[in-house]
Amino acid sequence: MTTFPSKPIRVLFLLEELGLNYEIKSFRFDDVKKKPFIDVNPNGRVPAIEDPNTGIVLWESGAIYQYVIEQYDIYHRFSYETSKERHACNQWLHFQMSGQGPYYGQCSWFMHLHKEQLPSAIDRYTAEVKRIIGVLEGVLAARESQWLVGDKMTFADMAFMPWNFRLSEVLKKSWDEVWEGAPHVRAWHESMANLPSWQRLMVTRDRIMEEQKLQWNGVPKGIETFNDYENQIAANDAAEGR
Amino acid sequence: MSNLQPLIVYSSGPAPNPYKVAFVLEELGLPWKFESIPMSDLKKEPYTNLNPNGRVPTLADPNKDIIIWESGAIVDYLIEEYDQDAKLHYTTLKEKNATRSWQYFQVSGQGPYFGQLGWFEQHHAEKIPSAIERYTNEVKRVIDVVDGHLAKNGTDFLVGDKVTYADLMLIPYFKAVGKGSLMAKDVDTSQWVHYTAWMKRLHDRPAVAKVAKTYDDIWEQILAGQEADKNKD
Repeated sequence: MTTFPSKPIRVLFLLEELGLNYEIKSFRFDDVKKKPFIDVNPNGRVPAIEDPNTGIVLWESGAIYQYVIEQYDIYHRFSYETSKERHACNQWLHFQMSGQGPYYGQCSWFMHLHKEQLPSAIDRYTAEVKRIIGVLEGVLAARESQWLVGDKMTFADMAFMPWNFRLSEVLKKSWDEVWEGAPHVRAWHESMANLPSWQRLMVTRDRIMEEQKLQWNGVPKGIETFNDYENQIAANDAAEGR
Repeated sequence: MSNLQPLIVYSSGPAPNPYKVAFVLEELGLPWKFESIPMSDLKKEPYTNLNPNGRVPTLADPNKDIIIWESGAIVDYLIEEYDQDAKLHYTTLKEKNATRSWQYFQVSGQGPYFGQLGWFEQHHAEKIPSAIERYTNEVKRVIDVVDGHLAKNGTDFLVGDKVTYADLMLIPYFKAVGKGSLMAKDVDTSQWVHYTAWMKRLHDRPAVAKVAKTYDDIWEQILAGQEADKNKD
């Protein structure tokens, strides 16, 4: 895993809840699109996993989620066996992977990392974040259970945690402002945030980011902007003849 | 198969994502049809009663009384329920999971970024060069990832030499970029030799060709309309 580790954290959350042993291999953002990591993941992003029990090497957190659930959630603590519920969990996972993650990501990019401040781009993505929260609120408010599928926490609920957990920093708002008009989403989110497994992970995350001397947005301490960071990486690569 | 009622794919004119599902349905030889909803009606009832997120596609399968949204989840459903002969997927652990990596790469790493390029090139209220540059670079990078992977493995398709649903899912957005397409018109995609050969290989498949023609026809009309508007001014 590497900087701003929302997707790796998502995987670790599942591994923690399933009580599986794991080891984190953390490395710098500088190296994510280079060998040897691109031999593991040609797309050069995190996370990726290696499972020594099966020999499987896998990239894309959604694919990893489905693998871990199929391989290790044999008692269906966080999943369902029945067809409709299984497909519903899958549907929510895909919504998180393609409809939440990338848009929260673009919001964060234009608010904090892009080389210039672009109000219309920021407006576009903050509106989309609000819309997504609204979609979740509408669904959760209409359900008897507090969970997205059935009546228990599944991997579908868990997948949303990492990005939602960063919203206050990303949007530069208080949590009351973030969750305004979305009390069901807030309650759902906070149930998961209060889990011991999640709290352990936040400690782990903070420790790793401290070890790598990173600010909350993934930019190393002492560097102002992401643009400066990219320039420094390019300069280092040139100096090392890469 | 012949006593199946047609599966319904909610679409919206030229929007790419429903075509991913259409490619899979056609390859599986299933009866199906598009139900096109105007873009302006997607985020309202009654459509949001089917899909609270208000996007396309949504699948309604009257044979199993199920409604699913999110193209990735729809494809998984179709493969599980209707691909008993493993025509479009592998049953072996490693290959089955590798296919999923590419599937999730498509839904989270290709689609949304190509979509943002389309937005900033065509629809955003102002032209922002740095945003267009960001997403154009990402489009090139994504094509490069696929090209590099095919070159390294020397296989006909993404996972071995058999077409999978992951190959099919990547088609619609890839078709939308490059010379003669709607987006990133200055990017000459033929420079990515393995990618270009793979796209041609896919389009040589009768099922893909049939659905691709529908897609191409719609986009041709749009591009012709845009040319006409330009010439009017």
